[in-house]
Amino acid sequence: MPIKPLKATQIYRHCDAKSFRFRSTAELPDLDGVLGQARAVEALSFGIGMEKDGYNLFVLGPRATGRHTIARSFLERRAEGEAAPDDWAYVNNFEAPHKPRALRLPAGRAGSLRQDMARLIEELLIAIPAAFQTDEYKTRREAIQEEFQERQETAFGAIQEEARKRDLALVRTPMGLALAPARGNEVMPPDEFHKLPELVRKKIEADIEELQGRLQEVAQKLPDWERERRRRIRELNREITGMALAQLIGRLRKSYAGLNQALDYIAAVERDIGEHVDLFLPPEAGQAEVPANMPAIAGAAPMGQSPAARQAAALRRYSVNVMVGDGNNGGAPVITEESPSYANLIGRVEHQAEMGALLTDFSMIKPGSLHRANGGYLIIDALRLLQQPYAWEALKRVLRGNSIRIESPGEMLSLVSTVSLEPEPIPLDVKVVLIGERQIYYLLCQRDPDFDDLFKVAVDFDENMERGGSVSQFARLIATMARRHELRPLNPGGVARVVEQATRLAGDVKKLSLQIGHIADLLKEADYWAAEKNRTVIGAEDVQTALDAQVRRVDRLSHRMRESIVQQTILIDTDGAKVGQINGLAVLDLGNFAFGKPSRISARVRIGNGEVIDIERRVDLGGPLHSKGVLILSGYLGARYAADHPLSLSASLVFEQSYGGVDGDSASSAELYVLLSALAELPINQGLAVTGSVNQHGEVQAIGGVNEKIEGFFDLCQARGLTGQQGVLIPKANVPHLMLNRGVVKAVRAGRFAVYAVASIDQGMELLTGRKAGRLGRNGRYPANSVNRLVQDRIHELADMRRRFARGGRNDSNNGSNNSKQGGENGS
Amino acid sequence: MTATEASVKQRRILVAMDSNAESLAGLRRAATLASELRIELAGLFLEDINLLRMSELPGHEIILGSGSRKSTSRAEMEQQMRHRAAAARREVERLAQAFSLSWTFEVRRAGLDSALREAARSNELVCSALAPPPLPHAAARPRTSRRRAVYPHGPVRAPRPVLALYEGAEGGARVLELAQRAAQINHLPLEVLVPARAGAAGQKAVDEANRCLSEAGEPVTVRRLPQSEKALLNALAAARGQLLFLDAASQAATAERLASLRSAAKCDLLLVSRH
Repeated sequence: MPIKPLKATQIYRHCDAKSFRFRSTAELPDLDGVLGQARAVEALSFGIGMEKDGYNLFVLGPRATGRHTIARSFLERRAEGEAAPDDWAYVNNFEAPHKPRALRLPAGRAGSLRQDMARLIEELLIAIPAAFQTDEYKTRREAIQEEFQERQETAFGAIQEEARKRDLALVRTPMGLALAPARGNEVMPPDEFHKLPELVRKKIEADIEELQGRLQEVAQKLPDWERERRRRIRELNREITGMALAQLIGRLRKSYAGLNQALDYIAAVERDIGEHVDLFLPPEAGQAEVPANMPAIAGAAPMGQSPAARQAAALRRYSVNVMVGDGNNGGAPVITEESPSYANLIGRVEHQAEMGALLTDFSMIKPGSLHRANGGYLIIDALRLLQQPYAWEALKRVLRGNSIRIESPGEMLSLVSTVSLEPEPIPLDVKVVLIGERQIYYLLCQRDPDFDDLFKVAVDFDENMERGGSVSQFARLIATMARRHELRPLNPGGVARVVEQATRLAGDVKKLSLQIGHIADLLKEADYWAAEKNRTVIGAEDVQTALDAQVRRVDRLSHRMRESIVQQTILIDTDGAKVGQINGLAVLDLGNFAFGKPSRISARVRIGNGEVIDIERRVDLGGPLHSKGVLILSGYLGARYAADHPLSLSASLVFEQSYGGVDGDSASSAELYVLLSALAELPINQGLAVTGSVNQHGEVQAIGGVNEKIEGFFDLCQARGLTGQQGVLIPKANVPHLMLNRGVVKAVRAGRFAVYAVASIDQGMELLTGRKAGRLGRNGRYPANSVNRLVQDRIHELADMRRRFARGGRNDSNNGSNNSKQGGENGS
Repeated sequence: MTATEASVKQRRILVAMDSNAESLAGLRRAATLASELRIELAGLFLEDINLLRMSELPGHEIILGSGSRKSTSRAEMEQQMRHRAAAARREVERLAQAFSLSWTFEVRRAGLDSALREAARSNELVCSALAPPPLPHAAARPRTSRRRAVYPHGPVRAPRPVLALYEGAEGGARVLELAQRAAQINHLPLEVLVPARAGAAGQKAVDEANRCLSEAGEPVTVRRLPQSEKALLNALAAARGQLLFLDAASQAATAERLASLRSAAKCDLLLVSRH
């Protein structure tokens, strides 16, 4: 019984707008929960609630399924009910400045500590200089200075006096002092000295030696005296500073009572201010002693900074670098890291160039997203993370160690050995949510042994949902999206058209696509077109306009290709019949747009050793799946037509005018048809195009992109003028996937184009050649004049030729090639 | 002679330097003054004859700060002096270029104070950037070590003033004029010391000094001192000035007294000629 073309209702599943009981989506309530993602939602709830180590989440699924939005909204809902995490700040470690201390403070207190410290320093800049201006301080200080000056003068004065008595001069040298025999106020000339009697000289030398010893003793004491002087001045300063500090520090201590880390830090600050009180004194005072800095000679202020700027820089040692705490509005943080580089994740230590050197301190430590997400949740795109050097390793290290240690990649890899900061690690309590494609998830599972330990929860988002019974829910989803994106509401016709498009995206009439990103784009664009028409509600026409416009924006390539075919630059016949030539269908996927492209496939047959040559493969233009399909053909031919003798043909198959490579097995049925045509010398109807893969039993199997393939051939036929004899053969298994465009549906309904669903090669051959395929008789032969009989005969003929050739016959393979009548006759 | 006429005659400031590192700081201060007065900058590097002699005599140099001994040969001492002289010459040249001044440089081997006195005879203004003689004490040690100290002279102190020694109207007016200008340039207070007898004669000297000073500028203090050497030296030590101006032709400016004054004042001396 001949195969009948599919009806229009079989190639497009309408959504009946009348089934909706609303006038516009404005009447529909927002959708509760997540539509069609029960598995993912369950996993999300589990992963978020599970508080043990390693239960981080990997959200996998295709793009535009709302993975980010859904995961984030779940996390935010959960985070709202959680306590805000503690604040963290880095402060100066006064004992070891290269190891900044991490301070943990209750939420909201880090910012206030920073402000309090800034206020303290501001007040001390007034209070300390005032304390040092008092008469009491000046008097006590002067007394210390004078005491030490007197001590030195007394010591040296005694030596000088003794030297004078012995006619020796105390001379100042560039580095110190020296004693020499004197004549009046000058040093005695050496020649004069040498003329002195030896006894006198000896006496002078002995005197010099003795006084030199005493001088040396005093000189050796100078550093000790200086140290002592400084110590006493420092003690005095500390005492005075302490008086200025006491009240201010006391107030601070009271504010942070009970917070031990803060109190320890305040105590350290108090000690350090006592040691560095000079930082709080007016800069001018410290410079009065430096002659080179006298105004007219200036230029001596290093680095071009004013004294006040230098003072401000020096006082930065008391600042508080808040890492986490600013802008915390309650609840646990949910952070999305859009650029998950190494530094953006774990933080970094910045440097400042100064006189050619790179300087840094604790105030230049910058937090990473792990700091900001500490005590909450961090969302990262897996692909972006893996694209960043060292970022994945750093994230694993941090999760394994449960603490954030800031170090540069250079330090991590031991490439840099210069002194740098080693900030105290901050304990980490975070739930990381990676979001990525399934392929990434499975690759990580397979290749990274740490992955399973650290990301134990897979949240698998489905791209489709069942259509039956869910359309009303889907309508609510559309209503929710329209409201969320501030779009016009949709009327039932508009909703129905969107549902149909969701089915088309799903590639299955029984399903709806959950790629809500694409649906949202469609709604936005339909809203635009509705606005253009001054409509207050989005209708089916607007949705269709949006869809058409989407295609029009990106179909330049398909248009050009079709143009080339119409102009016969690319040779594709759409009428007539040819032996060894068929129209195959391929899909070109450009990422955001896919379209069907007809391709001519041709076959030639000659005597040989049973090999079907895939020319695409030979020139490395064919992929492995395509080659697999071609090899199946050999199996099919051998088993069906040459089970009891060698398959003695050599066939070549080629995609004509194909320059960009072919892969997939969807052309294997077309290749088999054309091969059979070449063997049976039966012409194939060029008004038909074929898609479908085939197995060794001759069953036609489902393929992908069926809608695009049919539409591609339809567009070509339409461009040349539909004859009513044109159509496409598709696998029967693909019928549920048909959601063809309006043009095709209309032509099918009018009987000007046909879509045939075939289950076997025999069915296909009957359609393509108009001749019965024929069933195998008990005698092992097919009915006369059937397709299969012609093929069988030709294969036997080739086998005979080969046998004769092997016995030394004169027929050489060249003469027997290519459907040659002569060859055939010779073999008969 | 009016102040303007005197200013025209002041054509050159001679800066006397020696091997001490502090000399270069004195040179810079003098260059500032020369720039303000638009007069020539003359560098005079004195190779102290006493140091050279000492290097050929028995004994060692005692290094302050460490107390270690160091013996220095004459050749070594001469080499050191040559290096210092070359550095001083470079600095004179650099400062002259920076301030667009004409300049000269000379190296002379002599006793410091006698050379200073002699220079004062032939130059309009002589600046002694020589190291103060012993006794050394904290303030006299190399400034680099003091700068590193946390509180070299206390965290709060008044700026060191410019000092002027007024010893009579003949040369005193010029001394006060220049001292006041130096104070204005460097935004420092001026302290005028007037050694004078008690009674009306002393008051007259103070009044004369006051008349020589202009109204404008930095704060000025005029102090009358007992007319004794000891009182003067004590006052100079207590004043802790940054520059000391005095009349090059006065009684005070003998070579011996110059040494005492340098020792007491511990700052640069500027000998002002009466030309």
